[in-house]
Amino acid sequence: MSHRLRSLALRIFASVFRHRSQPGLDDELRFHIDMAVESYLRQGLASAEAHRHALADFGGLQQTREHYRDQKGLPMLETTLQDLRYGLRVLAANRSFTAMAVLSLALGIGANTAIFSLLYALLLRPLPVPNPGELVQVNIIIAGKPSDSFSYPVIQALSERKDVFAALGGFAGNSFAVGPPSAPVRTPGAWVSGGFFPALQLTPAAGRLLMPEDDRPGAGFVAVISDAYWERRFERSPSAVGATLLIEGLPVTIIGVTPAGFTGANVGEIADLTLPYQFLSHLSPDRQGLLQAGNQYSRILARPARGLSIEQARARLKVIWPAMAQVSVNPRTPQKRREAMLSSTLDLSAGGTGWTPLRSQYSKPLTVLMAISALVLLLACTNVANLLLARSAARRREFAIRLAIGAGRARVMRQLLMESLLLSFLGATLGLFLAHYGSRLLLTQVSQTIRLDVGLNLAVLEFAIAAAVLTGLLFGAAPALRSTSAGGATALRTASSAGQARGRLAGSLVAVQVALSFLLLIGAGLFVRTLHNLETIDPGFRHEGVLMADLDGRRIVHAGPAADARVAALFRDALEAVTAVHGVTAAGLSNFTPISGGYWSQAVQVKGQPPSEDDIVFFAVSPGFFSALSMPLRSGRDFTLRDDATGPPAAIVNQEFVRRFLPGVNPLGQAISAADSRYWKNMEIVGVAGDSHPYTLREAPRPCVYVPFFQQSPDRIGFGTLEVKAAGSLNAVAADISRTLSRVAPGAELRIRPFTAQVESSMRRERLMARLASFFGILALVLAAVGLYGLLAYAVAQRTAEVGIRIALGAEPGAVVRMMLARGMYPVAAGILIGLPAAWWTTRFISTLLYGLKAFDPLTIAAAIATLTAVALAAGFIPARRAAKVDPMTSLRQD
Amino acid sequence: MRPSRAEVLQGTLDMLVLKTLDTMGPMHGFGIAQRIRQISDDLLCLNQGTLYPALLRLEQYGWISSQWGASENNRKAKFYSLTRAGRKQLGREEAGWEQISAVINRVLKATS
Repeated sequence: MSHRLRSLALRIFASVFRHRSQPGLDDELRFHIDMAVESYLRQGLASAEAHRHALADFGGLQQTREHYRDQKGLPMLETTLQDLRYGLRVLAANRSFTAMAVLSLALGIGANTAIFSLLYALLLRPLPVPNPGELVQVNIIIAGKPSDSFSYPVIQALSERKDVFAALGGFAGNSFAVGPPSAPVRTPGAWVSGGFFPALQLTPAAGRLLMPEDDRPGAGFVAVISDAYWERRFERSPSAVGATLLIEGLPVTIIGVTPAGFTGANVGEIADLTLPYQFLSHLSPDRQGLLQAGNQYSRILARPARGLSIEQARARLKVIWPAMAQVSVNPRTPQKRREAMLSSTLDLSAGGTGWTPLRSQYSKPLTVLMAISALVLLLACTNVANLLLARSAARRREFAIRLAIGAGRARVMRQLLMESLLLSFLGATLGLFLAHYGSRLLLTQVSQTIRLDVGLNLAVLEFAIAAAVLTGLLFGAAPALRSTSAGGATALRTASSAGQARGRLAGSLVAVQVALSFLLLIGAGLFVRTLHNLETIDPGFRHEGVLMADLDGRRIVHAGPAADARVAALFRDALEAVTAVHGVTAAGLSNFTPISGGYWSQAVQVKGQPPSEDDIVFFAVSPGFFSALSMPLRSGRDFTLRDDATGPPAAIVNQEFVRRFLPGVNPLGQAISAADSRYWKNMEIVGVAGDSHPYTLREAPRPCVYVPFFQQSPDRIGFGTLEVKAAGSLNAVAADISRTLSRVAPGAELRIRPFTAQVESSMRRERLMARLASFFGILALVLAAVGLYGLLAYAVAQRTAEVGIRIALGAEPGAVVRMMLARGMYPVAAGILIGLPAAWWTTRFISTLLYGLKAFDPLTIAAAIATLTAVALAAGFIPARRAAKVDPMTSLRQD
Repeated sequence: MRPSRAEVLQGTLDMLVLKTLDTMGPMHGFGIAQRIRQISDDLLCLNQGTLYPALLRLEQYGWISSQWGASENNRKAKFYSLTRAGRKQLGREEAGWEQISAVINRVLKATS
């Protein structure tokens, strides 16, 4: 075969570099003929006869030259290259057309590629480990609800089951305080169980990775660092392995470095430090609790035992789990929860792509966005098809001539498709460029803290190329078929009057465009209204003008005698100092803040009633909390500083709580207890607060119990957030608060931020959808308007003579405008009629992303129709007016 | 692209060219054509024009090489000569040909 390859290479080379002509060949052929003539002359033939015989023997000089030329290069490749060159010339000659087409395709392909890059990075990219396809994630179904979170004892118990898993490990993101406690550096990292690295089968860049022995009680303090951290902190020095870091105040030995590119199993988070869970047992009591059953904050990745398929592993898990489920509960687990846990089942899902909480939150929105951007691309395609159609009408004579002089229809079509593909590849190139920036912009909209590489990679590139080829064929096919449909002679004859059919095709293309943009407008309307509904919700508190500052008492106060008392004193001092800052009108302290995503919950028992069936939200709040958040107290009193460990247990409930548990009763003075807790017994209700959305804005107000912050034992609340309401410039007050706090709580890591940012970030997803859907909706509207304008402008040009006659016969300009506009409204009406059922069908898929409105929302649909009609009228008005201004004499003379 | 009959001829022509160059040494195109004609006693009457694309193909395969030189009547002519790869190829083709013709002969004799 080597001779064939050699030949192919030579021929491709000759084709590409156009070494086709062969000056030597003519010399060679002339020599051949001369020799043949000479030989015939010697045989005694006359000169003319000798020539005739020589040429006859040879059998066609020109044919030989052609065959020689074909043999020299590759004819297929050459005509393709010829088409390419010709296509480039045509595109260069029609700059404005090319620019329009390329730009609309670039926007379409760019949007698709940008969203695909994010989708890929978040949902599809495999972890950089050997055979990621083998990895499975373990899930648990508790009382019908699937979850992927497990407690440490479950991880350890499952990793013992070598009959099911070759290796199994748990992991959870965490940030570690590295360095001396007086000036710690927050370093992102992860807790992992001993089976984590064996399950991933990573090869260390240096040293060794964590093994099951490192995660046993009593094991030494060891950690693994990331390649990037090795580079940053140790400049890749081999002595880093064996070095000691002070982590959470304890000396930890680095035993190895993970390979470059691996940043942990949490997608979008960078784990620079990885420590075994057992390290927790040496930290504060509240963190030791993280090793106990009931604290489900870890995810599990595993490789099934050798030779075991996922189905087989799943089946075995189903069998063994009921006997093991006991490890998932502890003695204090509430009865109902215990029953649910003991009757839970385990399942396996593909785990090769790692884990991120963003996945469950964003897989649906991103899929919807992908669909929306695909519609935009389709719209761009129809636009370019329309442009091509308009241009092919202008080029009809060119095609007719080419067909007439013997070019095959296939050849002309190939030429046209080549032009389309050229356009789409130009569009894709520009689109990739747009996507490069777009995907980064998108990522910041999804999360400010996520660390994800959304840059170009093979998968994204393949996607863009596939999109380009597909769009090229899609928008190129119809015009190419149409332009070449008439035979050469017929085409030449009818070249000037072939507008009718073109008008029909263009009209239906515009109808499709209207339908598409109608759909996209409805989508935009739904998402914008969802965001608006959320933004205008009364959350029950005011976040404007409120600053928040976290205080981690456990980190600030060193362990030692009376540590708890010192933590309590620290919070008290901090609250007092902040309240005294100039410009501060109210300040409070709580363990969780509303709309942060975190809260305690417990079943509650009102004295004389059975315990509540579901968990009730608890907040520990200090005096001043309600006024800092402008939450009204409907009756009773606020907490005071006397509601402390020495005072009688007190609680404030919200109105929803009263409605649910104490209807028609004076709630003040009633006693409530947490059903399954050593804490919160016989608390007297001292006040009733207004309702609020505790967890997310989407969720309706829930019953809440507020307990006094200073009444809680500091070993349970070592962490608090200050809420500070300020008048005047928030920045100035923030600076003052920062100064004050660093005096009261030296060494505290201060992150003072506006509460508004937290509320807004809870609507991040809705804002992203609203913004992108609007962007695409407007884009769609512009594309449809351009299409409609083109259609009407063409129709006006076509009917100039008719309009001239009408005006000459006395038609009013207004009537002409109306006539032309009515002509333009047909495709709009058709598009809306197609779009309505399509909208009914498609919007159902996004109903879970909406808030406060139905998916098939009449108001949104009416608004979309109104917008479309207005834009269509505006787009049609310009050509329609041109028609009305036709001078009858010139128009009649034209033809 | 070209009719299949030409393909069959091509292969045979290739072998003839290689064989000619093997026995006669470097030759120009006209010489090769004459030689094939003489040897076959004018029975194999090929269009001499088809020789040149075939020569090019053999050269692309690396089986023959060419260089310009002076002909017997002192004119500029392109001379083709067999390369080592070409000689090997000829050996293969001869063996293949003998095998096939032997088989065909046997078949023809058996059926007649």
